[in-house]
Amino acid sequence: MSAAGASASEVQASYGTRWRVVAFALIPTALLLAVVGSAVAAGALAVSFASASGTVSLRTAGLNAEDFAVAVASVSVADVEGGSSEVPHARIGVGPARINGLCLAHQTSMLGLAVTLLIEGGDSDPSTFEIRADALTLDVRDVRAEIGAGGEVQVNKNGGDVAVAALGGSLDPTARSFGLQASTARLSDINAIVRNIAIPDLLSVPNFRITVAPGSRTC
Amino acid sequence: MRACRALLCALAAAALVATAVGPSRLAGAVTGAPTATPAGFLPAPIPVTVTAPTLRIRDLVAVLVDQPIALAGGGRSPGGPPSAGGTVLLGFARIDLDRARIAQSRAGEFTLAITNAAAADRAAVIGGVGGEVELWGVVNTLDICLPASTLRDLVLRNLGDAAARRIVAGLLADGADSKAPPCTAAKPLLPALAALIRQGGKLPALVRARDLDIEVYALRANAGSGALSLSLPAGRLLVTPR
Repeated sequence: MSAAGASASEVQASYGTRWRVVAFALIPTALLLAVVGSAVAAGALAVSFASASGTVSLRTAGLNAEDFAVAVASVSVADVEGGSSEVPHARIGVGPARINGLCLAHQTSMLGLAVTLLIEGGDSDPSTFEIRADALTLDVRDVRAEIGAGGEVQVNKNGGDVAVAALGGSLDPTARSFGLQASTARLSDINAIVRNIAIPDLLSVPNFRITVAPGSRTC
Repeated sequence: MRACRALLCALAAAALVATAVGPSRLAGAVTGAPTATPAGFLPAPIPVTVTAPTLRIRDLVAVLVDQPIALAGGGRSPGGPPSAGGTVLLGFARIDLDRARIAQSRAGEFTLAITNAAAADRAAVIGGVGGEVELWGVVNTLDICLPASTLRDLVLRNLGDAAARRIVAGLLADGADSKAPPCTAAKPLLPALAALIRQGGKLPALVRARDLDIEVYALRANAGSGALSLSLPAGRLLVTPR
């Protein structure tokens, strides 16, 4: 139909608000904002990312750090009945550190739909450790990696005495439990199930991006 | 002249103090001198259980029995001979552990396990060539694999301790060289090894062993010169509630 042949009301409508188009654009944006907003509210995304429930998987090609410490810590985890319980995790803390690429996938649900919040950063060059991760802390349940620790390594150090100067001291562990302390660490091909991650400078990560993907996705 | 003599005396005294303080903490352990934290840190009160079906120890330079150490919370690791579950201090340069598992369990709380599901050139490695590893632990099981002829040579050449000599001789008498098992339970042999090394005897640079199960109260490793002190090529850290 040509414009010349259109009725006056149809011509008027073509200059009005196209609600279908607006809705098409608005809903994903609103969804993204809601998810990011809730993440910010939950743990201030710029500082940390915490998952009270659900699963966060982490993948990175490598981590090089000075001051590396591991201790056992209790982490509050939401249960299906709306309550919470303390669940033991390994708390990893590092001093000055660099990461080679980063991907976090948080599988959750929005309005009853399964969605995955993907947080990614870094470049595609496997030889560069382009992300600063000084004073990184992680609460993890399961980590697979090629693990190397250098300098003085202390195994079964009292958890309460394990300390990282950049974190202001102790990792706040479970009393009198396992601790590991090393002068340096070099981890490669890291895959982890994470409860909490705190990178003080997360938003300054190069190529930082957040996407919301439908369904359950992994990095 | 008198001033020079005084200076020389002062320098000699300083040198004596420096040499007494400088060497490894092993020196204190050998002489029985008490050290508050011989590992350089206060260990957790619960040991980690380290297991490996096969392993290789390089440059085993110290075996000291009855070496309890202080633990967090005010306790101490067990004393007494290895046969009675006493703490042993092992000093070596490097250990390669095939399919290693390092785990700590707290009843009703958690099990933390660090594993390396690989062997040979992808085995877990603690320490390094020229490095220093010190381990305080209670040996549950460990079979060391030394040729009987090597053991006999070591006994004849180096072992002056009559009691230890009897233990080793007894082990050797269990079978002729050709029939002797390649691996021998190390637990009853540890006092003999301790005496052997104390007498200046040396084991082969590489000692093969198997069936390691040891409760480790403290382990410190330093491979030195920028090398990795702990390497887990196929590493996994897993925490599970109990």
